[in-house]
Amino acid sequence: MLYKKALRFAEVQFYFNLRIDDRDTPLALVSVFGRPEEHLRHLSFGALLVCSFHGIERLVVVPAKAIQSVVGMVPFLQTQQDALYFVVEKMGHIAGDESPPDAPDEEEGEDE
Amino acid sequence: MQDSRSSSPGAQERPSTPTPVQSRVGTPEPPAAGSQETAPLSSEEQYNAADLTSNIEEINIALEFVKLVREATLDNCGMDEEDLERLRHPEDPTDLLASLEDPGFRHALDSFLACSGTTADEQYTKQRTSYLRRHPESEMLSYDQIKRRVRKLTGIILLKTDMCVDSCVGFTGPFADLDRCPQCGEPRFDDRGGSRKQFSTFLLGPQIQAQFLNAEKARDLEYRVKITERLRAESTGGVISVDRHVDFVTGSAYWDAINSKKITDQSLVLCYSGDGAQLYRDKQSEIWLSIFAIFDFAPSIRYKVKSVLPDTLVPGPKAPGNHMSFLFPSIYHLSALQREGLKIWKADTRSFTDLDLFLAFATADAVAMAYLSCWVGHHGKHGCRFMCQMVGRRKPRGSHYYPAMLKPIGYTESGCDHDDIDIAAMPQASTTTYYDGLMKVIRSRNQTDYERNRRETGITRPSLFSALPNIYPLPGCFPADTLHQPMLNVPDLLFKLWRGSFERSDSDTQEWEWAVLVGDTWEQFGAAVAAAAEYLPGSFGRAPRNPFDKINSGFKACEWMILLYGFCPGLLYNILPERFWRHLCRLAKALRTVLSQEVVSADLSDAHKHFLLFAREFELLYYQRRIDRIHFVRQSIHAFTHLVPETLRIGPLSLVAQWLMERTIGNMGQEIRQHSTPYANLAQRALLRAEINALKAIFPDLEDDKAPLPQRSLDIGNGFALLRKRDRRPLSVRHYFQTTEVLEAIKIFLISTGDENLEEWTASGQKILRWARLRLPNGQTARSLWNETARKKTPRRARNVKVIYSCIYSNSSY
Repeated sequence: MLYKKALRFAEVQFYFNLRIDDRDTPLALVSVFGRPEEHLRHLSFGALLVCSFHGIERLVVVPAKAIQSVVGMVPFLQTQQDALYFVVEKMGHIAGDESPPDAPDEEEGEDE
Repeated sequence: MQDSRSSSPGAQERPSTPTPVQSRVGTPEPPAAGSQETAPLSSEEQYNAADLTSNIEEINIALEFVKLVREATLDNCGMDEEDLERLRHPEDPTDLLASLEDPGFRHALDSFLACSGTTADEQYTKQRTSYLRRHPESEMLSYDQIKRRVRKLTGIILLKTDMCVDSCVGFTGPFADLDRCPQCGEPRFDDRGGSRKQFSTFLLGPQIQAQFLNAEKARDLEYRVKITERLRAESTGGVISVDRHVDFVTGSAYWDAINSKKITDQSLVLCYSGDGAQLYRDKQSEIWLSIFAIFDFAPSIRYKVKSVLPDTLVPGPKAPGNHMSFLFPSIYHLSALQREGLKIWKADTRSFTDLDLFLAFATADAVAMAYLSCWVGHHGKHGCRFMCQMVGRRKPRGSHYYPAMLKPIGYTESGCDHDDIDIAAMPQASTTTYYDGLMKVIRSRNQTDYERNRRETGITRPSLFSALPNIYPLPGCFPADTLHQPMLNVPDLLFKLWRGSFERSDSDTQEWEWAVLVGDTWEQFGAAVAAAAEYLPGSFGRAPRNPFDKINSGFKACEWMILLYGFCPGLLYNILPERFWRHLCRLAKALRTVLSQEVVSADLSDAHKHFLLFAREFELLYYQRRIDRIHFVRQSIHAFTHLVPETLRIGPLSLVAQWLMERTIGNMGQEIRQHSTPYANLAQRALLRAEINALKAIFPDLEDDKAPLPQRSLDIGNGFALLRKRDRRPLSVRHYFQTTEVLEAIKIFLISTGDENLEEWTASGQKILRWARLRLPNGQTARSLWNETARKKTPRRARNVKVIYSCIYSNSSY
């Protein structure tokens, strides 16, 4: 059977390891956004990807290493419909990459 | 797409004969007798062959600079005998490399590095006193001693050259022997015969030699040769095809240089970058700073502060007048190194070998580029930064030209009343057209003729870079800058149009239907931008501030980039009239392709189509063939039509963008802590930067800026790592989560991997141990809902990801 793979956007709930075939396999539990709204995608030449969010109704486990990049999902308030977000991806290259490191680690080091 | 800038076949083949050693002999060599007896010399050959003179004084001065650089030798670089001897015949560094094993010296060196603040000497002396109090039996080098040792270890040479006290010229080249500034007449020396003002050059040779001393560091420099080998192996019939543009090595210009043996395995490929900057926002405080980056390093190392080599620093407060005279010491030295070769240490064979320095790029923003390439500037008739053949149009009686492709209605301005231009068919700059133009300018009969030739060619005078024997053919060595044009000039233009604040002619009384960002709409838009910030991951850099409040408070390039190309397609939907919104979307889509983290070759032809249409539609939508709106059509709009051909020619444009330069200036500026004497202090900081970079190259052990994974993280391979926080002990999914969805999702996934995995997990109590964050190979850290909701202060959201998703992971088609 062939499974079509596609790039999708998702909100990560958490990461975890499971024993699969006797190996620790890093996974992520994510809530998958809906496919980009086709009409807007087409009108905008692919510059505007608007996706619906469904929270725990669409929880899926994916391999952690299937994650490509961190994106911004910004609320799309230009229509009446609720829970729509548009995608903002990082531009630019490593050149002169000034991006500050993510929030300090010590703040996140406490275990629960 | 073909490399549009490659020179004519004759011009390219000549310097390539036959080995890299000979190619160092230099370009001015006339063609071998008999080889081209009948063919007339090309303009490039004429330019390189003869001692040219011109009737125009300023061209003659430039030609004198060029001539000197062509004949450069290390003897005349301004080094003293000892430095010169050491550069030409370096000593076996074995003892030097071992010196770090002396614990006393190591301690002194560590302390020296720790005390690199403004009052370094004072701090160091305090540390030394404290150390000697505790260990009275031992010794520790004094500050002066360690400074001298560092100087000797690194071999960094700071060359100080006299300059006009008012910054008109540097006393170099044809000005070297003058006692007064040739422009303002200010004396060079004070009453006691001392120099009144000097600028600094950090000679390149020793800085490069230091990079090769340590075997481990030298391996980092093998990146270019290795990736070249790999691409060559993957090529078919000499044609390199790549599905992703990852670096300059995927550009056609690189392969032209490889195939003509201008770049070989013995080469070191460099990028020069220069920029003028103002140190303080509110007062005149111009400096000129240039650097070299080494493109044999992988991009991940190349742009680090420690890998960037400081080059020239010209103090202010006035901006340099004759730039050529200030670039001269550095370019002269580079030319001498290119002609003589540079001896570097090979750790594997324990011997010295000659390195050929190749300058691939000289980069600058559009303003500074006029000083490097000697191009007329963006208001000229031939004002295209890429020196293409596009001819601008001016308003009646106007002096500024604008690159409007469409002919205005009722327009009869002589010299620019040509018909509509088909931009896709526009001839691009080539080495041939460049030298034809240059020779025309040099041969100008008189001032009037000169001004006409300058206008008609877009060239003001010879560039100093034309004198270098090993460089990408001009003007192709001057690449696009994707910082200022798309990130500052274009957003400024578009937002002024949308806000209705762009310069409007009195005769332009028609309503601007695009000018919608006014009144409440503008204020609400500003609020929406501000509100969007929390959804932007921290790794994207600074989020745009509220433009309603801050658009005139130094809105930064990175803010504009995210605002215009990231937010605006979403935030201006249903606000801009649809035609104008779609026009913007075209641009955003194309620019994201060209400047994405991975430039996918297959997307480039689409991006090019969008760029061409964007430029054309800009004229149709906004300027509408109106004479009184010609000024809308800026070079920054035209420049987009070049970005895809440029990418094919030189690889991802973000790798040669001016971010690097801006950052270097930014953090040098921050380091100036003695504001009473900022310029002198800046020179000291740059010297220290050069020395510390060299030290770190020689002794990688000294580095404290390695970024290891945070403590207690779990490396899971392929560049991924799980980061804390983490559950203390495994928790039962069934008991911990209130709903069944989590359990279901895990079960479905396990089933897809094989039923026995599910059985095993179920048997072991359905437990998981959660991790909060994931480090990605691209350096970003993806967080999670668990992590972000638990924090006291809500951070900018970084829990949304792009993921390769397969429907096997779920049992419904989401």
